[in-house]
Amino acid sequence: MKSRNKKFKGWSVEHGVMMGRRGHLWRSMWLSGPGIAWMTLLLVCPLAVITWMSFMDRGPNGEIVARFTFDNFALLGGKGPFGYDPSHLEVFVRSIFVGGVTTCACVLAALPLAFFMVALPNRLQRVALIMIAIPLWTNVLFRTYAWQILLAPDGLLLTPFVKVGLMEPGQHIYPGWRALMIGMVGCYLPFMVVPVYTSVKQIDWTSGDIARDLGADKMTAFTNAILPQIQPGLMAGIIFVFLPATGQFVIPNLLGGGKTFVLGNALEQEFVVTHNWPLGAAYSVFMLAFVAAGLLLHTRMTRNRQEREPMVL
Amino acid sequence: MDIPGLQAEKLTRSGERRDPFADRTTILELRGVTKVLGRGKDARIAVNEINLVAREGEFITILGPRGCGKTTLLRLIAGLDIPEPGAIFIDKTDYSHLPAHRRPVNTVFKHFGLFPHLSVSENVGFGLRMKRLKSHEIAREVMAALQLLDLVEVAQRKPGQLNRGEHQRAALARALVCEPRVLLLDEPMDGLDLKLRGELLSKLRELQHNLTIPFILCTEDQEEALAVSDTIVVMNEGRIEQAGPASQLYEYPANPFVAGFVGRCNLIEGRFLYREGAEVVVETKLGKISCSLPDTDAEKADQNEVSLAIRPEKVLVNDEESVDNRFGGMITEVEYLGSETRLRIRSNEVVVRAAVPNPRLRLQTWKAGDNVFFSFPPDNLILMDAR
Repeated sequence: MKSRNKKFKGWSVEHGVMMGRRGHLWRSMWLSGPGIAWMTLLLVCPLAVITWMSFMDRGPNGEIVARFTFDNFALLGGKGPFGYDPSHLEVFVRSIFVGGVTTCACVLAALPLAFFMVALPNRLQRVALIMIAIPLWTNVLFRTYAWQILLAPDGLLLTPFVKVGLMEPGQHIYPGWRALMIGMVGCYLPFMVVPVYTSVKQIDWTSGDIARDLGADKMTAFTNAILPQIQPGLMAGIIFVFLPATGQFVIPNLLGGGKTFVLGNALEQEFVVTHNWPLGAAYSVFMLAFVAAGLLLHTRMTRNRQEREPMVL
Repeated sequence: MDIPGLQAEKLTRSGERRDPFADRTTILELRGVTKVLGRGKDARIAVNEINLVAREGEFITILGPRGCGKTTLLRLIAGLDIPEPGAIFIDKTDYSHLPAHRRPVNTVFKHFGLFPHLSVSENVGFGLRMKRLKSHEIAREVMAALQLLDLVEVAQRKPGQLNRGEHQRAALARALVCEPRVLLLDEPMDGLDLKLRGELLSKLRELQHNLTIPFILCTEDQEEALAVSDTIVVMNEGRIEQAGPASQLYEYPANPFVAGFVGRCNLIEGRFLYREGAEVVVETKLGKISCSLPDTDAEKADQNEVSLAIRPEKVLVNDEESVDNRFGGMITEVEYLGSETRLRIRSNEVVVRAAVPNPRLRLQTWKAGDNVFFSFPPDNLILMDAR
């Protein structure tokens, strides 16, 4: 019997058909094959091309010259043709700042909202989730234009503030940083709320009682026993919000009013306007490396916390 | 016959029970503790005027069915709920209205409830951290607790990486490291297999012996209660049905609920006929049954509707020597359990359960359908009010 052979462990019976290792291999090949092909063609290949391009030189007419150089990255790092020029570096800092502020604002808004939703009866929770998802059914572009109208001077949203006297008539917050932040948070809040809500729903509330039993007052019990439990959801939300928010350029374009030149704008400029593709590619690679490093650091930290050797007390 | 042990039992039955904790200091005292849960239409009295005293080194088990209010009672003692009305004293100090974090009481919660985001040593140190102890003191105390409960090797693991035994010991360490005046245990054996139960029980016994603080354990499992406790408190529907040492509860249950909940019991309903000295005669479906009654229980005899209780192992089957309360019947069910055989005997629409010890040398066989006679020794019958 072949199946008794120790070297050959792949036999299994599925739907009444005995399958060997080769059978499994074939099946998994043609089941996962399309996915792998898709990823290779549309993710790995372009990434490789971009990375390659970022080390190339630019010809006088915007064509790519196949000559290996670090110039693009040097440019990003602040080595301008006339000495130190941080304008490219500033784009990164600004993008990360926009992403970071958006993420913080989303966390602050999502936490109470998630707790409130979990407190609702089950049926209303579903309604609330749908209400949170509804904005996602419309294109970001439309939503952003809508913000333009709402936030315009004497617009629908600002009129009450003017009436109360908090704002001067004709004073505007669009275009500007405030409008940008409102648009960004409005756009990314659902991506924070949903994972946070999922974690809040799984909270073991007896932990609060246990903490109180062990001498924590209500507030300390909440911060020490309840909040840590939503950390995974919070982490997922932060990743879902921070990464796209950092790369977002439609909203900064439309609501920021030209003052907010971020990564997305830079890419658009290099690829479409100035035709400096290698520099644009360098932008992408630099950002990708930054994000990958952040994620790697995060996984390393969390893994280390779990696998730490017994500490000496 | 004059057997010393038997005499002692007689004494306890007539109310002169010696309380081994009579001279110990009272640590916890509950006075008329009541708690209503829910509001409006859903309101129900979860705990109803409970009086309870726990003394130094006493192991109290609160035994009762699901929903009898035992967990609520523990929450009241822990301070997670506030009694209204009622008073809770710990070391003669009124703690009734102080919240949980200001009471010298710690709890081992149902399913242990270790904080999943903290390692074992961080879990154990949590209470000390809340007390704002210095970190080297916390480290020392935690280490001592971990050593006491054999947890040093898993100190850095997260609760998700522990097995069940380590889980329960960690929960125990976390509560004990705070040096509570009273330790509460909320169904700590729930969902554990027999071996772990045994280990935990002996560990609890050992710890309690060394610590001399009262332990209050609540459980639905009567075997657990009988095994460890000095005092068993049987609760039902928010009230204490009976409290006393295991042997007293088993031998002299106060009412049909206790008789049925602690151990197995035959309950025979009947009508009180007359009394002659210590002898009471009750009319039942089986016929007239006489039982001997200690003096202190005299007032019970005035009741018209009564219940007679007898443990299955006290029922004698085919015993030629017995003469009192002898009835005939047919075996309907036989369960051979090695050390004993359990029989169900039907007689005049009454089913009597009997547990007959299996003789040592010869295999006595009982068959369903056999006609037998059985008898209730008058000394072993307990007379109580019918419900």
